[in-house]
Amino acid sequence: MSSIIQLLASSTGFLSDSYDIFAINLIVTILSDLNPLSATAKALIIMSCTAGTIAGQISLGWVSDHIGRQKTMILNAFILICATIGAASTMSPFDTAGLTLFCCFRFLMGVGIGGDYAAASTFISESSKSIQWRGARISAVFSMQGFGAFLSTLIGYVLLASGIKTALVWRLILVCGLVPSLVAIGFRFYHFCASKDQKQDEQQPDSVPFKQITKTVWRRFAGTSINWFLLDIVFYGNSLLSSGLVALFVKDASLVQVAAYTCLLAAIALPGYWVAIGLIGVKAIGRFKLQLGGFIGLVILYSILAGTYDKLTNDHSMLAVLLYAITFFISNAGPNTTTFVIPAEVFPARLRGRLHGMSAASGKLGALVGSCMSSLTLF
Amino acid sequence: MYEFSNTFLDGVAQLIAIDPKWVFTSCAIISAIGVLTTIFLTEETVDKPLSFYELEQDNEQTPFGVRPKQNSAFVN
Repeated sequence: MSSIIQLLASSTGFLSDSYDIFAINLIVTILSDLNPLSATAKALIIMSCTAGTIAGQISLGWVSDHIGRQKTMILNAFILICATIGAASTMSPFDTAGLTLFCCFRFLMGVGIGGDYAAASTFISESSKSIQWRGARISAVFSMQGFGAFLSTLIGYVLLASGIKTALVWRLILVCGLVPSLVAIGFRFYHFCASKDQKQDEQQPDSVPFKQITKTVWRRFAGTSINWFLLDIVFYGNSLLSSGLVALFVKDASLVQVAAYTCLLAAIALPGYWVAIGLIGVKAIGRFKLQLGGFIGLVILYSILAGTYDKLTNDHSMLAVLLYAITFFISNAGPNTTTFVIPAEVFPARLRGRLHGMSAASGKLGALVGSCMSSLTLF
Repeated sequence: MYEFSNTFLDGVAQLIAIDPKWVFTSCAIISAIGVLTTIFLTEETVDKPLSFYELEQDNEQTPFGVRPKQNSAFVN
């Protein structure tokens, strides 16, 4: 029972994190439809959350090593709820003051999301009773990223198709993100209270200065952070702007059609996480081969998309969307999951929160680079 | 400040307004680098994950010390 509550406490939080990250994809498209936004405004809206995530991963990863994982997870959910309410109630993100306020709230949402990357992953990793299932448990929590992405596009599509005023739709998309956050804080608080009595003999991990970290740990950290950085340039450079790319593939598509295609992309990408859950613990495959195979698959698919871009967009737009969707599937079945799982397993406990947070932050730095490059190119 | 960055970044955007297929070309190149960093920086031992107790022993000579019991103490 405790194991299920642990999984729910981590995964519902991660679901809301992912929902809030990817909801911006459609929100930017809707805002642009309401009132044309400059390339800078679009880039700022998209990147403010990513910048906040980096700040949260580094600062709250450190906090989780000091005050504990569970307290940090409750704090993360609380920050996310407050920031979501703030962002959804911003008067108008079209003038400078409104845009600044909206971006500040999105930054704050990012801080809560970033904190969850470090705390929720290490929490679920450390609470695993069996080493054999540890990777699958961490992957299962991470798979909520796909479900959150899918849910954000599905809710966006349903709201747009239902005929509700577009000016209200983007706010409603944000408000819907509150539901998993509230569920998450409930589970986290319940588990914290339930486990409090059993922890009287526990000790806080001691602080370890960075200069005393061994070469082995630094090498592992280089591996986790560089791979995560590279993957996120590609993954977020595409996923945060998938609506824009779909609009390029399917010419003259309406807002509802773009939302439907974006939803389709997320639906095709989703089973990739389940493949990773199934294969990560298999001896013949495992983390290393999943990551390597995933990167090789991405090289092949992106080369095909780049080489045949003109032909695909002119004559075979559906095939282009399908190939593009498969890149997300491969990312999720490979490096997108392994870059999250490995840092939660390979570092000593007293550094785990910080080094996972810093690895994830380097990933988000890649996301920032990727979304910046893509948004400047596409918009 | 915003007005300045708006003008500046929009200028940059126009300057590099290249064909979106370059997004995919860059993705292919970055993924290829990912193949190399996985081979050279990711230890194959990640597939034989240590228990957290063993992981602490793995670092016995360091100031991390040895954990007397498994990870549960750190789920605080």
